[in-house]
Amino acid sequence: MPLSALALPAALGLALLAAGLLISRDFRIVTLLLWLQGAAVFLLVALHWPLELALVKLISYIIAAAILATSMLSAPSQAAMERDAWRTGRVFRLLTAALVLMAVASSTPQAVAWLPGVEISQVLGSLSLIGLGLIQLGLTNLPFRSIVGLLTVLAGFEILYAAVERSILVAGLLGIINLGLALIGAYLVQAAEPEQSPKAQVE
Amino acid sequence: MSSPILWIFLPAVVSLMLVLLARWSSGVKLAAALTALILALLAFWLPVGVRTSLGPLSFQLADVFFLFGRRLLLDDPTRPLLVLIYAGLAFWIFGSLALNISRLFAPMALAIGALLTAVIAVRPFLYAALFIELCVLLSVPVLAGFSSRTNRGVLRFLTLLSLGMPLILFSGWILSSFEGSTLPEELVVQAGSLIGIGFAILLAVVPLHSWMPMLMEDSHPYISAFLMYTLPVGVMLFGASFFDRYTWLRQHELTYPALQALGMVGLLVGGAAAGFQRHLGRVLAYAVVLETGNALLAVSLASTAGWQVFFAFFLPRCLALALWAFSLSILRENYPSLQHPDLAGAARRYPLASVGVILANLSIAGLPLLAGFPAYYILWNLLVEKSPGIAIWVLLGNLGLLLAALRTLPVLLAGTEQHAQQLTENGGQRFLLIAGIAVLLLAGLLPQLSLPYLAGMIQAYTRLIP
Repeated sequence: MPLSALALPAALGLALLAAGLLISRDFRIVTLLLWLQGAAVFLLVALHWPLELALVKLISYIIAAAILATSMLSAPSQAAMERDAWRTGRVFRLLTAALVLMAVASSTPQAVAWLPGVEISQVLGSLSLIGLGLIQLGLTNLPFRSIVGLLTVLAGFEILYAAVERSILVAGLLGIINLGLALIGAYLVQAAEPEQSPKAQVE
Repeated sequence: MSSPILWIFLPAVVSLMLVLLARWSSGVKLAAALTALILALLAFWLPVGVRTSLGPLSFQLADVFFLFGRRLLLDDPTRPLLVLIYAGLAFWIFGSLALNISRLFAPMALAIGALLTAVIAVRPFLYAALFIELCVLLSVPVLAGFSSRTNRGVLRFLTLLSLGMPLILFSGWILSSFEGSTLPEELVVQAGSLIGIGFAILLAVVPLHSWMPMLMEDSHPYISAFLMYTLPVGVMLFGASFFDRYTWLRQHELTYPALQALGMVGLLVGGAAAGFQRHLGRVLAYAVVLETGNALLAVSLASTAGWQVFFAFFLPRCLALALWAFSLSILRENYPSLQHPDLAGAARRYPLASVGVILANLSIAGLPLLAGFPAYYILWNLLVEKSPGIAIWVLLGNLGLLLAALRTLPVLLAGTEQHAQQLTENGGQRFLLIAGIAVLLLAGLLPQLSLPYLAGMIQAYTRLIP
């Protein structure tokens, strides 16, 4: 099955995944959604990039999500804080996501006209990620969620940029930036975690 | 051997090695400072692309290095920019020797220097936005401490600056698509808007400046101020490349009025906000906002003289911010916070640090005899020729910063008679403070020593000179 046949389902999937990131509370589910998001981004990027170059993007997302998940596993109070912070307001976030997706759907045809050579599925997926990522950033001040929001926004940008730029240097630097963001997120999560006494650690 | 290897890869490798040796904090700081100083001296003395003899040795430094199909180009006209970057770095890193600061600061600073050099070297130059983002990522571990409050400013800093990068990359693509042909008018506005918003985010132009006072409040003052100096300088040099490259940007009717408006807003907001702050770190942050406004106003003059003033501001900014941050760091180490109530009478125990705070503040406010005055004087003269109204507003903005200094002075001098006057700064701090104050005064009294060299940086951007 050619990749182009999977482009539109991937774009629609991205919209749902990004909305899922907004409403999910558990970092494990967020990590899973990030992995799936990475796979969908890979499919859209691979429409213009060679497969081996697009795989760099997929791998960087998988590793970035894994780094974030690992840091949250060893920061139980941060994980609890993330869950508690997002306990209420699910309906609000869902409605916000719906509003953003409606705006994206209405502006996609015009954006396609502005960007020659970019397919409608790429524009749809990209704008969904950028819009919902910005909402994610605006609704949180916790490090884990902020980094997830940033990764989402940058993923959306990378889909569009992949259609216009095929430099290995850029691909490498963007991959490094994704991994760097994940490492920064892990560092900030650990920095905010209160220190445990040795006895508590042994128990 | 090529110039990118010498001024990009070498400091990057040295910084990596210094990270591994970080436990020997003082040695690492000294090594980083000396590396930066040697690179600055080499940039000053060693020609690029020209055969040079050193005794029996004869060699030529190539000006280009190829990396994954792209070029890193550091030719001879860019040497003054290298001197600016590495001399500034050396100044900041030497200052950290006398401070209780993160052991990763010096290696991080050197790595940021390498990345800033890559910003001015990379071709196509649009990729510089990626290197700026890498600078931001590198700086976060040094900024972030072990409290959630520290994360607040750091997250805001990381988020905002990371959002600027894609805007610039994407606008660059729009512009490069029309390479060699006339850009349609509707795309001019779109591309210009994307570039403008991207640079506004990266330069922390009002109202996207909120991370600066948050960072000064929550993180180490010296590290925060260092980033508020180096990142805007790198972004400004990058921005000058845009003007150098794109004729339509230099000639569009909206460009200079937009820059003037943004500059004015930054100046007024920075000055007014600084005048009413009760936290000395936040005053510094708003001074940086004001300085950015000045830089935009200088560019908005749309003349060679304006660009020369733009470059002339770099040295007084470096000297004043470094001295200010150094002094604040000493006060921060010895007082609960940098809030006015906590610093009452600080001048009695830390007179040199207090003098450093006040003089640096006054220098950025443009007071005569200090480093900032010569560049301000030229800017004011140029603005008066163009529009006296704008010059008056600029003065009002600087008055706000002057007000901040006047409010800080009685706080530092306050105290009961039981507070004995003493010189509590240690030997190293005293030496660096006296040296910093002396250099600040010298730069103001003898501007002819530095202004021609700084103004000559415009040679690196050939199309900015009509």
